[in-house]
Amino acid sequence: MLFGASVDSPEALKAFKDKHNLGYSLLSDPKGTLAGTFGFAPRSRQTVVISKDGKVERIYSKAVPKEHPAEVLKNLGTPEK
Amino acid sequence: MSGSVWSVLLLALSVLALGVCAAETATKPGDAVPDVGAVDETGKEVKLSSFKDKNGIVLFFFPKADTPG
Repeated sequence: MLFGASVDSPEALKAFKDKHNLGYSLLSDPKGTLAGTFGFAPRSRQTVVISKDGKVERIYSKAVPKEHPAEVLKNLGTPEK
Repeated sequence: MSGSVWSVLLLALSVLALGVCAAETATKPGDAVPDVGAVDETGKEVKLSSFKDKNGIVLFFFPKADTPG
């Protein structure tokens, strides 16, 4: 499963999803509660990978848009040391 | 030093202390996924822990919809 999350309202996320025809859900985290769970500040660019046994596999606390997707894909399934 | 300088210093220290506390309680790699969730774009409540035994989750945070990058 892929999820995106931001401080936007569900309505703004719906518009964003429709505009860009995104095939995954977007989560509304207006107060940064979800982000805070992983030690992230709101309005930042970070990624969490959760394995199928329900454990946090990797936390990327800095995501550079250009390189980040390839980095995440490369490491999928290999827990952070 | 004047009172206002001390106030600023005290405030800065408080913010720092809060940051340290947050970092200590945050979920780390190897931890079970916390029982947290959020409302999705349709208004439906989504809990991360409810996807256990599926194929795993990639959850990315982005600053704001329709901003560059």
